[in-house]
Amino acid sequence: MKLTGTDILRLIPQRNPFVMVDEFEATGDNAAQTALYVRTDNLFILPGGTLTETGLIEHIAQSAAALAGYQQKDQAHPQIGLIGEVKHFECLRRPKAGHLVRTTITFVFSMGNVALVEGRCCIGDEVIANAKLKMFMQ
Amino acid sequence: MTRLFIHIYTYFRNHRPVCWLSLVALFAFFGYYAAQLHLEEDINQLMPSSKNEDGTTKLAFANLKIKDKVFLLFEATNGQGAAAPLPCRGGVGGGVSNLTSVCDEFVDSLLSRDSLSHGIGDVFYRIDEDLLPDGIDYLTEHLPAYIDTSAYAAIDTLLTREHFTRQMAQNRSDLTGEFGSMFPELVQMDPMGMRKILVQSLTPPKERGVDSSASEASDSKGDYSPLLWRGAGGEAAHFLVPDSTVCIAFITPEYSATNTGQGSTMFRMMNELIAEFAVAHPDVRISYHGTPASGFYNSTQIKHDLTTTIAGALVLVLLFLLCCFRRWDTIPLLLLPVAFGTLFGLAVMYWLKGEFSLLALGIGGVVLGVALSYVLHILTHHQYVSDPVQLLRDQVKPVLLGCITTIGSFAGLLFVNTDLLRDFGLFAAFAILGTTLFSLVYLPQLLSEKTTLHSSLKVIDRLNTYPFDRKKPLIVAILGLTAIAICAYFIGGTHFDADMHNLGYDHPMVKHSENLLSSKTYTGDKAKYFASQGRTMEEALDHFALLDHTLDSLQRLGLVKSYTHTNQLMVPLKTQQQRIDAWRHFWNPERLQTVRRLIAETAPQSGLRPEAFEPFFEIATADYEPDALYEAGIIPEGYLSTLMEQSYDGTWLCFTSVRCANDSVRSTDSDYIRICDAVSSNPHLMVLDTYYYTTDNLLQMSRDFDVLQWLSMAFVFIVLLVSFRFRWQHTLLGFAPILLSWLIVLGVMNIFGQQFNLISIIISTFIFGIGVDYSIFVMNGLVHGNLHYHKTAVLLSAIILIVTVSSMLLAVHPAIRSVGFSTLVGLISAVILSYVLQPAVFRWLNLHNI
Repeated sequence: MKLTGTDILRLIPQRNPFVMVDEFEATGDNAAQTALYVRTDNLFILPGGTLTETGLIEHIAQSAAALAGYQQKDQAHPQIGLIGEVKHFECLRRPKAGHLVRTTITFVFSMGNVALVEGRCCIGDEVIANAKLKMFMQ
Repeated sequence: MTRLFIHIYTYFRNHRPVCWLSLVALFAFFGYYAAQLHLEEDINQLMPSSKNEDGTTKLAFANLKIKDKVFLLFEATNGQGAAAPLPCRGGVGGGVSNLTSVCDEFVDSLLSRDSLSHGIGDVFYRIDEDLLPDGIDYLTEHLPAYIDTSAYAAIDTLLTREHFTRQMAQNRSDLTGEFGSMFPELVQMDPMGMRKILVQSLTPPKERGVDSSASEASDSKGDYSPLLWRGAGGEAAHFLVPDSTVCIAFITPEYSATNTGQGSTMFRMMNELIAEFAVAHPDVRISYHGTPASGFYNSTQIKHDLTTTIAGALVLVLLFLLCCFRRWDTIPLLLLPVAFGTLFGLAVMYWLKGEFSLLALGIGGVVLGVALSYVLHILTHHQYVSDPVQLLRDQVKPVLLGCITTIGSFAGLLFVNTDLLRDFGLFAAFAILGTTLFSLVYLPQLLSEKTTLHSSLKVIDRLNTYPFDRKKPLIVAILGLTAIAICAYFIGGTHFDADMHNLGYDHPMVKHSENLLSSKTYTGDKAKYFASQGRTMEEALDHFALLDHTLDSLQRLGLVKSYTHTNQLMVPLKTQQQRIDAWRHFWNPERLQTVRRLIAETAPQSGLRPEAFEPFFEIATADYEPDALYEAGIIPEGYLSTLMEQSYDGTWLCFTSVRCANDSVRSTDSDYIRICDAVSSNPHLMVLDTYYYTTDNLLQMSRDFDVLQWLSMAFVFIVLLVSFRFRWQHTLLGFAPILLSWLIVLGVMNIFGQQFNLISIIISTFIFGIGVDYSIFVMNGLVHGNLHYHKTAVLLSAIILIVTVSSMLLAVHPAIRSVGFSTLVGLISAVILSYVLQPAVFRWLNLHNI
């Protein structure tokens, strides 16, 4: 089931203009597909219309938060999570305004309030970024 | 010789312009080169250069950065810090957070002020929060390299169902615990709990305090104990002593400690800042110490002593001379030759060396006193004899003789294996030569024809005419005292203080800082650096194994209390490869299959998914390459430089900090010296303590010096013998005061329990030189019947020198002060002997001869 718009807001604590997940679809117990339309009003956009690397990391983190929120029973009050560590972040290309970034999120391991997350961002079939994040849920 | 100088005199008399022009030209010439001379201060130059048996330099300590570290201490003065229960945990108690914030603020403002001069190379005052994750990442990628091959036997015993059941429960609690939730990957890759075995093998009795950074770094190798340096609230962690009352920062100056010119800017800046912070944060006391700080305060103190005591003495001397001669124009006449001699000496030093030690210059000030005495001889003589030709006829021989023998007595220094002493000897010799030549060539030209004997000189004259040498009780008393002193010498011998520490000046703040750190960290234990060396870092690490072995066996004996196991952090590539092979060999498919089965059986019991431990199988089967940690850029620069360093000649050194009992400073059977002896017996290992290597050399040097002193005595004796045309009696009589005053100095030093050090050894040559001069002049006077003139000059010069030397007793710097005592004794005995005994014996001899 693909979630969009205000449905996303039930999964993550972020609010506009900071929301960086436009679509969410769970693909397994510990995996999901998300998407981000890069728009010129994004907070992480450079003057030339390019999304920064930091923006990509935030997008991956919010995607992970959405997955965590989806797994949670009480979806009315999404948990606040923190990025504990960014590991092996690799950015092959930065998306530009108008691009649709599709991201695959996997919880490699989760225990207590910690989750090790793997994220992969694509534009079309092209992989543009990879990252491993460590997330802490409050 | 006399004829030559009279020729020059008459030539200049008839060609005045040539005389003046050449005078100005020579002043300008030597002045120009003297001004080029670079004055610097490095107390280490007093050290004899230590050589290996094959002639290679053992170690140029001056070029090691580790020696240049400055310890900056922030001390809570109101005792607040003690309230914090946990050591080294930034931001726990109010006192600690105050300390660390003052530390941050201080370092920040120091660095911003330094942005112009760039005197600070690196300040290591906190550990970046990235260090731990980076360290764990690195460990994950190179795990096998840090598992000692001996650990596998223990690991093998873990592969049982019982252990796995227990360990899985432990894993679960670790994962939900503070550290495990931060780094779950460490638990994931270690289902059977190898970490416990690793921690045991890697943690010797831990170093705390300053070297807590060492144990902290080893923490990142898999220690799960609460990490001491994790700042609360994500703050970077600081270095605190165990009771949290002192916060420490380590400064590596950009310039070496020997370069005090550049270093002093940094210390002046720090002193300003400390003064400001003392106002802003009265509850935190900031102090610092370290070799560069000592160097800075030493050179400042020497400069200060020179300008106050010596300059003050000079003013007194000039006033005194002014009173005696009652003529203003005498003062420039007195000073001109000495100024010329100084410039000449400095210019020669510039040509020979290019640089000169301030300390040598300071002591050289005394030499100028000797030089002054030649000028005085000529000037006082001029008071009696107005004709310059007659003056030259009377004076050339004794002045030149005095000059040659004085230089001869300094010549002993030229053969001593210490730069500073050699420099001093050279400078003294050339300064005296310059002054003497000037006094004989130009001074007569400057003297006015008509002279009158002034009343003040008459006072001295009256003193002179008093027949001291006919007073039997006086002579007996002097003979008695001399005999006592000489006996004392023969009973006690000479004592040489080889501990160079006693020659350095310790500023109260530096001393406070040093004591504070040692009392807070090691409860008074000594912490000393040892090193292994090699042409490459790998070779140095290989040799470190020897050091490790030596220190380990010493630790078993109880001599070494603990030491940093640098080789556990910096594993040699060869060892890494062996360990990687062992890892591969150990995790064969059968064992991996066992682990997989055990995980599948036991993990669910503790509520863990077996897949969670998949990372273990990744690391068990991954390919590993040995990797040099020191090149990985993970260890902070400020800490890495306490573990290893490339010295000036490309040699790599790998350090360890050793803790041992701080027993009596210098006895050959102290724990420290025994450790040093054990370590330094291996050619690849060394003690990072100049004093250890130089003590033997210093003792050897003082023995050499004894021989040299007797040799130069023999030289002086021969010169006297020749100049007195082989009249044995005169020669012996001239020589007796020299020998006696030397023996008296040795004896008196013994009676008062004073020891010779490097500096007073220099001065002993000077006493010797002065004694030579006095007895030559008196002897000359006795033989030629013009004793009267000479006695006046001797007395004047003695008074001047006694004032100068006494002023040195008021100096603060111990090296300069130590000069005072022995010199004063030597001077006074030389004057009395040649003034009273020499004429008495001379007359006695004549009576018996006739």
